[in-house]
Amino acid sequence: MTYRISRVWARVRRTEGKGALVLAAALLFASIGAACKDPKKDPPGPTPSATPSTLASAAPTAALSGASTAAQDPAPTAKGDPAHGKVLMAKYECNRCHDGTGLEAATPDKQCVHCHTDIVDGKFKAQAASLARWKPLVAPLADVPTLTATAKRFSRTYVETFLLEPNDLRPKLVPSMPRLGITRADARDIAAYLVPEETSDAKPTGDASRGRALLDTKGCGSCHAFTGVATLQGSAIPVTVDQKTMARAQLLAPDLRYTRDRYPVPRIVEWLKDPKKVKPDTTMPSIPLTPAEAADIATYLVAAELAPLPTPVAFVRLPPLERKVTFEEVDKKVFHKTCWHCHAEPDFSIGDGGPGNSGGFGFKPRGLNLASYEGVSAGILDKKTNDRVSAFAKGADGVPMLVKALIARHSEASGASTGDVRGMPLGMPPLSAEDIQLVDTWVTQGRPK
Amino acid sequence: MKKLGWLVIAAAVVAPLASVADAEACGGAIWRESNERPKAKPTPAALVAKAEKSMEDGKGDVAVKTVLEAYPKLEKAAAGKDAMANRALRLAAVAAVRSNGDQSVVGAKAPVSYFDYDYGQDVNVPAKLQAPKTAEDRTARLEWSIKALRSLHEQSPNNPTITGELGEALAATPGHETEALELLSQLSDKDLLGTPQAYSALARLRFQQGLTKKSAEALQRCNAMTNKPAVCGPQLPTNPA
Repeated sequence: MTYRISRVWARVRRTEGKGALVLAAALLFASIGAACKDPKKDPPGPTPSATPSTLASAAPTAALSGASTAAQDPAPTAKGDPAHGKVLMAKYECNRCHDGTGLEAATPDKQCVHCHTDIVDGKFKAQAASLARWKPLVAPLADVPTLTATAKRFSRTYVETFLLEPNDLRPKLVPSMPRLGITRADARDIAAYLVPEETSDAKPTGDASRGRALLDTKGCGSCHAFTGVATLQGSAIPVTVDQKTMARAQLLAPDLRYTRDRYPVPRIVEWLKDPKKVKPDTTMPSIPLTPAEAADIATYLVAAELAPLPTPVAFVRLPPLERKVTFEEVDKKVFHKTCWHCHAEPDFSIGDGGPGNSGGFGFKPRGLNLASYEGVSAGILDKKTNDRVSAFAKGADGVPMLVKALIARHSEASGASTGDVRGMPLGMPPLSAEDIQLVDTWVTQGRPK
Repeated sequence: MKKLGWLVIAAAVVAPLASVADAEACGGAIWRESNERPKAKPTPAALVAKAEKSMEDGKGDVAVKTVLEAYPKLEKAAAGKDAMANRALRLAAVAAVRSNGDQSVVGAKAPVSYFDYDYGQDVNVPAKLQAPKTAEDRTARLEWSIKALRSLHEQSPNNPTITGELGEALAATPGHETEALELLSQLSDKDLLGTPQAYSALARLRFQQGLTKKSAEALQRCNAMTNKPAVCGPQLPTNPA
């Protein structure tokens, strides 16, 4: 994202209009936090919440099966190497979206979120008409949580699991954490870097029912969702927060369902007592609570009985359309709207065609250019041989590679395994069944220009 | 003494102004004026993008003139490090092939741009393309395209777009059919042939070789890719005459 993106932007500025900043590919390395279960609490096997194993059968895509990268790695045994973890943070370009990584910020042309923020704030140097066009596209992608003070907050196991299987845990934030090509060993080292000291978990000692009542009366529901329990009451918070901060707090507020996975109990209590003391840049307001009240809330957060998540609706591949579909239509509705930002034309991006073309986020260059008809037709570099292969090559199941990747994103989003097929758009919300049908039809019809 | 002091101060203030006036008299004013006037000339990237759009719209002549505006010495160019210049070269080469040598940078008069100080305005004389005068001229232009595309292909051997265009150029030029068939067939077999024009060329070459079934397949791909029948040419007979 891109990028590349600094250089893309430089080129965009020069070419004016050539580079309609399309939102999609802005692979925001977003939201640390997810629906991953802590293996310490949940041994392998079906659980009430969404796990890959349960969902694989719930949302099958015949083409996409097999073990994930993570599953192929050995089970976690060691603590991990924090120093190597920092090196890996750079390799996977965590600083391309997140602040607070401990690394230098990515250059402005590569920092997706800063770039989006500049566009939204009107600070990006481009023509007013271009900014007006880009603004609505990038506005939902102009924020991600910082990684500041991860050491004081999270469970290391949680971080490791999240890196391997990122899931959406912030209901109001557009999901954008890319599913990295990361091994368990690498995830473990990064987790060791982000959380050097694992806090031993402790049993909650508060009163859960009082904790529930406090969640309702202290206005927690004005920002947070808590799926699986009775809806939180949306009472006002008992402190004054300016409108902008409140809006950002609501955007970033995680679903409290996952707190038990993300935080050890002692850290929940510390966090509730004074979030800004733990993480100075947090948007979570400091709500006046006594230590006993904090313990009560923490108890409810980790002990409340959770209803299972709704079973994801299985993706249904729609049959090809009967009408004619041209590249122009597919480009307008899909490629240029969603794919282009990461699969750009390097020549118009000062040599960097984005992570999906020139490489990035730890991915090596695959050379897939979805910015033009010729680019799409020129295929993709094979992972092993580095030879060009068609992006429309059909597997044994008869599904073209490109379509398969789009379908795989649905499977990923619902927690199902996709084998070695990486869902696209990477980390972003899946394309609609209708958009995939459009691409599918275009391919079936011989890819008319 | 007091007067002398004032004189020194006055001289110190006036001296720089005088030197500015002198500089303007020596051409500084013109220099300043030329710097101040709006720089309307588009960047090479913008011109190349515009040319590619023209090419897509079937206006090869406009495309060639536009790339000449960005790169007036394109006729003498070969693949290099400038990505935009390479794109311009590719486009010029393909335009010549698809127009059978009519729309070529070879022999074209480069565009001229200057600021007319008498009238105080920019003057842009667009490039002028010259039609080939003889069959040899025409062939020379196609050979120029082959040379240009070959240099690009050598620089980027793993770029199917360039390889396909080289195949198209070879197919259009007498004496290069065998190489053209090989290149285009390899790409077609991998489903990496990206233009209807390339499939059209492949269909023609296969037909000439008596490969009628495969020729028909290529023609079918060509027709699937475009709704412009002229691109794929007439339906070939099932058996070569």
